[in-house]
Amino acid sequence: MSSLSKRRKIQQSTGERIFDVANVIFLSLFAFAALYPFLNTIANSLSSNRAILAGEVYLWPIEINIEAYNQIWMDPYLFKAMRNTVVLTVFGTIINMTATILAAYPLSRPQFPGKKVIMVMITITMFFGGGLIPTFVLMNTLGLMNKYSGLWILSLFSTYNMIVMRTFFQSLPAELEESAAIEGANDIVILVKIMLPLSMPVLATLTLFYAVGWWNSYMGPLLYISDPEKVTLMLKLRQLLWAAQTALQQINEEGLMNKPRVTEEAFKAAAVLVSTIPIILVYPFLQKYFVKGVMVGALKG
Amino acid sequence: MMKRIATFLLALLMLVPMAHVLGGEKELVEISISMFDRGAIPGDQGTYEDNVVTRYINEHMNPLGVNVTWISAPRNDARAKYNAMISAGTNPDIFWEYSRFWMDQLRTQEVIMPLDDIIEKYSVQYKEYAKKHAAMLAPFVTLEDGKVYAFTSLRTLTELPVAGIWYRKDILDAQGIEVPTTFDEIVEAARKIKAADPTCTPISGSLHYFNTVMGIYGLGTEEVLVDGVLVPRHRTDRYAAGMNALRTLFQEGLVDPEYITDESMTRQNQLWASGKSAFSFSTWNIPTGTQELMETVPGADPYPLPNVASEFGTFFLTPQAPARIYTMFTTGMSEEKIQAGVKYIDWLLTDDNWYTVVHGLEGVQFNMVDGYREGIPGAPVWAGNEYSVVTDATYQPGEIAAADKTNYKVLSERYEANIKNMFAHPISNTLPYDYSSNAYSELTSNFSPVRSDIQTQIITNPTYTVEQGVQEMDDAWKSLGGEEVWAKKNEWFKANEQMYMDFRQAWIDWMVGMANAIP
Amino acid sequence: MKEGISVMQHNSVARIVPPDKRDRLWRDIKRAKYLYIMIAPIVVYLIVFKYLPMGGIVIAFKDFKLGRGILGSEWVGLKNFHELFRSPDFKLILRNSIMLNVYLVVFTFPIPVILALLLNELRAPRFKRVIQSILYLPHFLSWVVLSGILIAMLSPSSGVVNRIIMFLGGEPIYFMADKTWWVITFVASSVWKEAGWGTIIFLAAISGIDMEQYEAARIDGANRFQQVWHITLPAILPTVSIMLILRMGSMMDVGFEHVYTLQNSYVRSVSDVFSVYVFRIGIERLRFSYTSAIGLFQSVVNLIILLGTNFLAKKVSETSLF
Repeated sequence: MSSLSKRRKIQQSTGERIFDVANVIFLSLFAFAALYPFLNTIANSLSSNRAILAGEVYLWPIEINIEAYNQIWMDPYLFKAMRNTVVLTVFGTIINMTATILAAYPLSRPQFPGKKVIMVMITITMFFGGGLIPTFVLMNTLGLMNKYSGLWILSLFSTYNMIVMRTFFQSLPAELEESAAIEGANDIVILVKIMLPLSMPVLATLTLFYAVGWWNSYMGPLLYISDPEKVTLMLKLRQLLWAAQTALQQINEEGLMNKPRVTEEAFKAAAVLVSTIPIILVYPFLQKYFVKGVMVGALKG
Repeated sequence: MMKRIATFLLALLMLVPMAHVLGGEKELVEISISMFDRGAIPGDQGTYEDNVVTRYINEHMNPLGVNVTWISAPRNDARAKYNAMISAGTNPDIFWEYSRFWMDQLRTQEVIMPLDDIIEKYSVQYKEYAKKHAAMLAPFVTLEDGKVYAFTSLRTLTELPVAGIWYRKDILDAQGIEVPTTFDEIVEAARKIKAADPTCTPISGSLHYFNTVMGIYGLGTEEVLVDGVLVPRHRTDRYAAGMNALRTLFQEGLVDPEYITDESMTRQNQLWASGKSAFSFSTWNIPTGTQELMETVPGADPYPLPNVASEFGTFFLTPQAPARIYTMFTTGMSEEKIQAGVKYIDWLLTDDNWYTVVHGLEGVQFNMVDGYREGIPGAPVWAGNEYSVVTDATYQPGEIAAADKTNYKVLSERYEANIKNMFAHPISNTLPYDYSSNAYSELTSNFSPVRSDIQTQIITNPTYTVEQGVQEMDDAWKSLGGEEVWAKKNEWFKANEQMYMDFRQAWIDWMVGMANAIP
Repeated sequence: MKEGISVMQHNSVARIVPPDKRDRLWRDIKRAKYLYIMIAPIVVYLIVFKYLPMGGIVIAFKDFKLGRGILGSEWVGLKNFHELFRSPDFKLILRNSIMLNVYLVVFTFPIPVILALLLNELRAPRFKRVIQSILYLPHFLSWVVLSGILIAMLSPSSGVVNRIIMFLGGEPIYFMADKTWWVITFVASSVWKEAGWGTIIFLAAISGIDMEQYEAARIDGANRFQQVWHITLPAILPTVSIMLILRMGSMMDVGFEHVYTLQNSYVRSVSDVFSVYVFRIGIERLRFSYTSAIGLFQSVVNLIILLGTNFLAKKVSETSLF
């Protein structure tokens, strides 16, 4: 072992080691607290209704049965709804990311004339808007009703996310752009060949944000999609999740003879899981883009 | 793009959210009606726009020159969706809703049109029906301006939600307690049970507990008629007595102290289902978790409790408007469409067509067994109940139990046996519906949270008495302008006092009559 | 230069702008032509889908009736705002909205930053990835689900938290019924749900730091804490600043579901916020104009706070929104 690395090893002082242990413990506890609701929901989805109502279910399922999942698989519409949501999410995210990049890049360039004006324009829209009714009328007039493309265009990008991306672009060293410009590259080339490869972490982050946004979107599909073939997962499942109140309301409204199938606790839990697990799995896939260290040095060469 | 923007501006300028373009030379007049998507139709059997029921309806309406289409929205968010559609002019021609209050809102928003002349001119069957039931229905469909704004029909017994108390007969028997007939007896029973088993929570309740107790003390609504004047509930003896009762129950640990924070009824369900409570103050039918209770606790014997008396009498709890659905026509409907709409409603009331629309076809959806409908397993789903906006149904004693095919049919039987009792008591209401004005709404929305907070204090705080609380409430109420607003309310009441008195009597007669008709 | 002279010749009566600056401006515009092409569709989108419907703001100044449409409804000027300010609840709601947000920002804003730094210090990469993936899970569950779990956990009779308290010799606390504890629970529950999700953006910022800097620092003898203080923190400072500024732009907004599912009649005086008020008053009663006015009021205040924060940020650091 060289003296340099030996010195490094010795530099791991007692203080630092205690910190490491404490860090691991602390983060583990936090992670457990964060994990608990999910474990509880999974346990509920596999338990009997009786056990759930009696408050016996915490971390482990009691009186295991997969009845709830059977009911879910049986619903032919659920898979269609999921497929619809996937389509909505994937294309929506791509469109969002493209628009965000197209907006963030110019606004991050220091010598972009008019950028302040545009920034102000955008910031105002963060706070003020016509609201539901004028937007609805507009969408209707433009013939964008009942189409996913309408939803995508309506929510073209999030100003919040765009500002995050702009901040990131601004933090990249200026020499990169300058040296490329000297070699005759125009802005489009700079953006695509230099900026974007260096921006993997923020691109991954915003992709995740947008994807989750589309996956969970509710008001948009509720108001603008009326074709039952295009129903999204969230629409379908929100009804189930508020089912307890709905069931009561439905009995209040329709009477006892039209008692709905009371959505049972296990079924509700299973529905929650089915609707959230697919999108949760996106992050682990994107994690490799969060790898520490960037090839700035490599590019400099 | 520019053309489209111009069109949009034009649309805004034209201020015609109601514009409907007539179908040109079509034979059939098309009308669209709203519908709540309750998720009951499986995907492979159609949608709420197109299914066995809608096709059956059009089979019969098309020969009459009408085509009925439906525009559905998920129940919980239907209002948001329909509001947006109204603003863009893409809403259904005909709306229906359960809430009279909402109907009045639509009227002030100038979304719906008066129907008096329309019914007079075009209707046959409905006109007859409305006349026959005028005493019960007219007050509900007539809004503040004195005009009728909806078609409606009467609910049956099974369509009138009621608050109720269920109790564990086995626990009472074990302690030698008689089934309580007065509220005080409930309190006594709770004391005995608690003394015998301190781990038991005699009474479990959450959202409905408060209103149930208030109902027992004759406080079904905001006002009580005292010597010909409408008095706000907090100023009445009943209120003080009811609050005292609630306070006693809480302070002596007879009711689950966490009912106030039990927002989702989880805890109440838990206590009942695990057998830890003897009384469940719940609502409407068999409480959640009763079947689970019977599975968990051997020997558990839950019964619905016949209405108990307070010192003010025995009342029917939580009266609901007897009107089933309010069906309204939107402004801007053409004469043709109006006639078509009336035709649909009249058709429903002809030859009991509504029965088929609600229940389906005999031999396909159900068979008659011993005089009761029995569903045929595997039959195509027939979600027709709300497609039939008007009905002419009556309760058939025994139908609830007959429809219960679970292992715990005995619960339905017990429930049904109690119906006669539930309905045989007078309502505590004076008015069919509450007074409505901007000032009154403002007062109510400002006062309710304050009152609710003070109520919680009265109930839970040992050092804060009922008298103190009522006094504070009254001070707050007065500072919010309560005296002036209620003076107006009383004026409004006086102007139509006889009508309300007659109506109240008609209501009581109707319900008691239905109850007595049960053998 | 030739260009400058010709500009001077053509515009002798123009505002006296140094030829250099005008030159530069034109040159910048020409150079930025691709940037304009890029941002053009965005601007079009903004105009059509954001600014065109903005006319709807007038609903707040009218007595909007659905049946009459926006233009058909009468003007009432500031009447809706008067009603809002006059309402006895207003002070309470304003105070609660601000106070809850202040607590939220003070406690829930730094935590994701700290967590990101702590996660970064984990030595085992696989453990780090696993923890990262767990922390953000509650973000995906709705408050309807989480509140049920939370209320049960905090139950004074059967909840896990109180069982621990009693085990340690204390008296059970009825968290949800006590005004102070409720606020604490409210803030803590927000951390529970969102802290993990909030770390993602900071982790992304951290992973953008050049490794060479750490190498250099290590060679210079810096320990881990010093490395964090001198390298990591300054590097993520722009991100933190922007996130904070943006967060300050929602000081009037407290999430509806969060409050609604946790609220009860014990704690209304500390928990009633605009979103719940609007639900109670506005939406259920079709009071478009009134709710529109409330929304407008919230937006204006939010914007003012944002501008203020932005101004301060400019003074203190180099990062700001504009």
